[in-house]
Amino acid sequence: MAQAPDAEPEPFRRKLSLGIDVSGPVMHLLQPETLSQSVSLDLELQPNLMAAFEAGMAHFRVDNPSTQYTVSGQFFRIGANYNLLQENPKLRDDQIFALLRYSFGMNTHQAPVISVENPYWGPISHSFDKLQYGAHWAEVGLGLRTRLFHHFFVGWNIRVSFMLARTGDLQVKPYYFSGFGRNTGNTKFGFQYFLYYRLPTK
Amino acid sequence: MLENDGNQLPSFFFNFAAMKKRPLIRFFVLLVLLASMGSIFPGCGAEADCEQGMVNRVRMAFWTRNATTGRLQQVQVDSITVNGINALDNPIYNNNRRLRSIDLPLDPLADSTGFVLQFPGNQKDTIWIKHGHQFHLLSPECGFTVFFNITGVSHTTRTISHFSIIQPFVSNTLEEHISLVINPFTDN
Repeated sequence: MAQAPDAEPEPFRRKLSLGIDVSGPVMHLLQPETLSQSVSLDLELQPNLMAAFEAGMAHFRVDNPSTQYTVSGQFFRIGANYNLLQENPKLRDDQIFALLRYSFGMNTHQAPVISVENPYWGPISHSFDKLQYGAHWAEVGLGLRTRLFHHFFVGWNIRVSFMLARTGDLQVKPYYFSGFGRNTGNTKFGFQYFLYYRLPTK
Repeated sequence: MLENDGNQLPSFFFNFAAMKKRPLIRFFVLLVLLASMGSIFPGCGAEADCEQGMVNRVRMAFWTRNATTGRLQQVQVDSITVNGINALDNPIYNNNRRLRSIDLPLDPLADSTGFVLQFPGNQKDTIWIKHGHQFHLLSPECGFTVFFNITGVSHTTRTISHFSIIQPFVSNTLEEHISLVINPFTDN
């Protein structure tokens, strides 16, 4: 049987995907005090290497008789994804990718009501107006992405975030950094579940 | 039209032919979705322990110099009474026996907090702890607490010889913050 001639390799076409993180709204159902929303944009610069940009906002709110505290912030991530599966037509654009990000966030927090019980010195009432603080951190991680139908994809990624620097007032310790999470320690594990739409390419 | 190479079923979930081609990736995508749901829900029932860490105390341990070896060693104080200055009618320790250390609440609204320590033999010393403070939200359930940063200590020298600050940051972890070196007690 004669062997079919090798097919011409398809020319490289840059693929642009828009994504929305659905893990934030889901977590909001379970932890109503926290809401984080983000979108992503990635553009394949060369085969298997994608420039990635993410932007989002987060809110944290506690409202009870002894504590009123809110955090609002925006965060941005810029970096790259590298497809470890390499380009393979049989996989139809499925990906297992490594990711690297530089991230930063800007936040404000305020507390109109702080009430602290102290059995010896007596109860304390305090409050503070909007204070600004920020953070810079780096992320590395691994993710999967698969096609749902048409130009729609779904995927998740896990990330380890490493705090690089914090800025802000020392009188009140920030509880939450948008994009990073609770202010406990310098290393955080994160998980995101994304829905993507890939813009059609000619 | 779908872009699935001849597998024309529109649904991801029922496209078994396509799943055979790419079973691993789809399997892991779904697995993580299910696993994350399973791992999130058990956490909802966890209740915060707010008692621990609402009042953060400075721990002072008692040390004395061994007359034979000359080395510092931790000692028990046979009895001690401690009052906060400005709250002398409300003792924190009231003739408590055999203590190696005392845990004292700092005043969150002041820059320094003073205590009167009454040792055996009615020997009194006054100690002042200078500190900054930082409001800290423990959790949404527990609310705020105050952490402190010790910046200085001064004292009278009737029984207390000298001190050293071991850990200046006073939070909700109990550890020795200040070592108080006291003169050996003599039996009267």
